[in-house]
Amino acid sequence: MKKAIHKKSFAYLLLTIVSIGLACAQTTVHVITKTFDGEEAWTEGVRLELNSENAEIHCEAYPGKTIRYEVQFIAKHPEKESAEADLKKMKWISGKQGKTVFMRNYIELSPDDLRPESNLKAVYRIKIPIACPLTINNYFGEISVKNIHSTLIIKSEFATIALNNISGNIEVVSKLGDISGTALNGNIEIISNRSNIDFSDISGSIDIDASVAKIALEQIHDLIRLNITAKKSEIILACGNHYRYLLGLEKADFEKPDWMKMDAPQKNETAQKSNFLAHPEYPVIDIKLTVGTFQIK
Amino acid sequence: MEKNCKILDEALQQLRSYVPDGKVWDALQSQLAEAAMAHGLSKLKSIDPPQHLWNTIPNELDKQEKIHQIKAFTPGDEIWNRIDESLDADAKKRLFARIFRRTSWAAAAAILILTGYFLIIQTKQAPNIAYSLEIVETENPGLWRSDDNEIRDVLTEICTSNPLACESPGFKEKTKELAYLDEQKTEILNNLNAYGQNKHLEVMLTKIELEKNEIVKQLISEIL
Repeated sequence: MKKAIHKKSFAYLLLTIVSIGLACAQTTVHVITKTFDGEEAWTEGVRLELNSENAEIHCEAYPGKTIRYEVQFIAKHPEKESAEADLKKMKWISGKQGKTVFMRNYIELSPDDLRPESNLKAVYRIKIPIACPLTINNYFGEISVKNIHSTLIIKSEFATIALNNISGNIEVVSKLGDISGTALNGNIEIISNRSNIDFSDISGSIDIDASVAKIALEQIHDLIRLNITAKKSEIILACGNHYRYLLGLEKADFEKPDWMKMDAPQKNETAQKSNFLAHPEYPVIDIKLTVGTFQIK
Repeated sequence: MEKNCKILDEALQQLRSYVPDGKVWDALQSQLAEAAMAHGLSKLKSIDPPQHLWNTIPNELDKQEKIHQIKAFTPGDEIWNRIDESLDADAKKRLFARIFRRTSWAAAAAILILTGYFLIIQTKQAPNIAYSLEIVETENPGLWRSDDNEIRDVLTEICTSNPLACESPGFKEKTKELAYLDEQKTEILNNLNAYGQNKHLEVMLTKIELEKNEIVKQLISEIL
């Protein structure tokens, strides 16, 4: 009994010491949040363009006729004065130029200013009309877009991208920012540099150009054409035997599924083909992979 | 009817007419008036007025006398014109005052409406600032740089011992890729903040480090 008590006491003591150790790596910071909002009139043909940095962007469509926005600037620092001073360095401008409504946030430093020490972030919450074209340029942060049925252009670096229920012309260029999407339909073009791509429930015409990325596509339906050009990448397709396959694989591992019957190779053709003779009506999946792995489920 | 009426008329017409002097008539009238007045006066009730009334009578008489003594003066055209102008000016002043009163009310109303409008707009657009406290885990971005020098030293040592291998196109391409990854890593580390949640950035850094490791291993295997 005594031994058990001693063991428990030792365990509690150890837990306390560890907790204190962990607590030493924490600090209390002052969080200052500046919020402002507004509304811009919208007519057919007007598009919204966001240029942001260190921004978390949430944009979705709604059945209204105006562009509504709420912007928050957040600064975190152990000293309140430093947080306040750094928050003032965050600037935001918006306006209309021709048929473009633009919004931009940036950090303004005068020649004497030091780089902000606070953790600075901008949070955009935007609602746009369903048919409003949208362009987002972001540098560090997160982008979340949903329910857009128009043209969507995203160019980002070091920012994760989440797309949900988008239809129309979709163009995404991402560097070191993973891209995930569900319910995507239309003309989809993705250029990825070290950005993993994870899509499900996709349809339409899809073009992917990737470098050093993991590409996973599932629930592919109503496909017009799928082109993937990749290097040093992993490609996983969950699409079964309902397509014609054109495989240009170089220094790439490919484990052919049992149901896949390759067409007889033609002269001067290096790419492997499947279903081109048996099912000429099937949509084409064209894979060009240099160094990596390719898997069909 | 009288006999010889005609003769009598002729005789009368020949008579001299005599018009008395005006004084005679005046005298007659005054006598008559005097007689009537005397008769009326005899019937009048006599009243003795109070003393203060007797006192006012000389004052009033003096006043009337002085008024009669005032010289009558006919002003010239210039003065009449000035009077005209001052009357006009007065009328104008009154008109301006009326206009000013009405416009000042309108201006006050306009200012009130504009102020209200701008207040509402300002309230709508004015930023709302909130303060709070948060406990965060601090991080040391410097920890991510600790291996870079080591990798550089290894590569320098390898190239010193085997310079030909380091001149090959494959080696140069891989070192170029390594340099690119170092650039991206530096960009991320510049945005890494001790007081923020950096999970996504740390995942990116991990990927970069893994890729760099692979490249370094390939470089080493090419040379050795």
